[in-house]
Amino acid sequence: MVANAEKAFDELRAAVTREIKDPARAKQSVALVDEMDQIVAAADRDRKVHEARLRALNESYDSTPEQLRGAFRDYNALRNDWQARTLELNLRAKTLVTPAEWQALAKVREQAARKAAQIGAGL
Amino acid sequence: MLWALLALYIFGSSGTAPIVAAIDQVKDSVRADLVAPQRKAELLAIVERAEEATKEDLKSRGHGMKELLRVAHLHASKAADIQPLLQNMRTDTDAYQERMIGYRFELKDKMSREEWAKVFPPAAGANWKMDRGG
Repeated sequence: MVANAEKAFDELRAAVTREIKDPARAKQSVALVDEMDQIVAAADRDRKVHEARLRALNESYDSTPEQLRGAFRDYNALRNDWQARTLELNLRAKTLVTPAEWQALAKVREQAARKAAQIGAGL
Repeated sequence: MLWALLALYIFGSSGTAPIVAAIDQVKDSVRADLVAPQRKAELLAIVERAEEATKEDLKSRGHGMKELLRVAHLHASKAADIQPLLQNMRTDTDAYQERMIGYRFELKDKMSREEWAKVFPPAAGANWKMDRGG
């Protein structure tokens, strides 16, 4: 998954550099992609930690529902934070990129959205 | 691909994968070697309800995510357009997590400590503290 993520972000960086002709805005846009890259990497790490914690709680016969709820509460708080940061980047990108450039980048986004639909919502 | 990653990690994840996997393990174990037919049917009925809940959740979360990504892709969309969709997804996910916790404990409460240990030999998930570095 790390390799896929790197490939996806590299493709997006290339598309942004290609479609945004103004060097200053292109540079700022690539920086947003870098931030997104970091968020996805952090989300990947956080999810692995959460899943290991949940597996351990599940295996224990003595775990309580409240302990599992606690694990989900912690995870949901992290997830909400990734989501908030991702949406903030989405909105910042829209202020940086013109509607025409946004449209030109649409093909990359549409291909990605189709892939997302194939994967569906992860468990 | 980028949005696939966002779907998987940022917006689409309910964090329930280990519980879904655990319920699957119980199902295999019950089918293979657990107990009297009546008890087997009782346990499998819980597994079936959990599977149905997961199916419904995946479908609903898939729709929610598709709509969320559609709106987020619009250049003109604002936070106020996106937040309600996100909130709906969070509410649905909270409810699904709670349902899965419920099914996990329904199963556990109908199994002895020995049966549980047979399905989940202690060790595999015991190192979460090490995994997070402390």
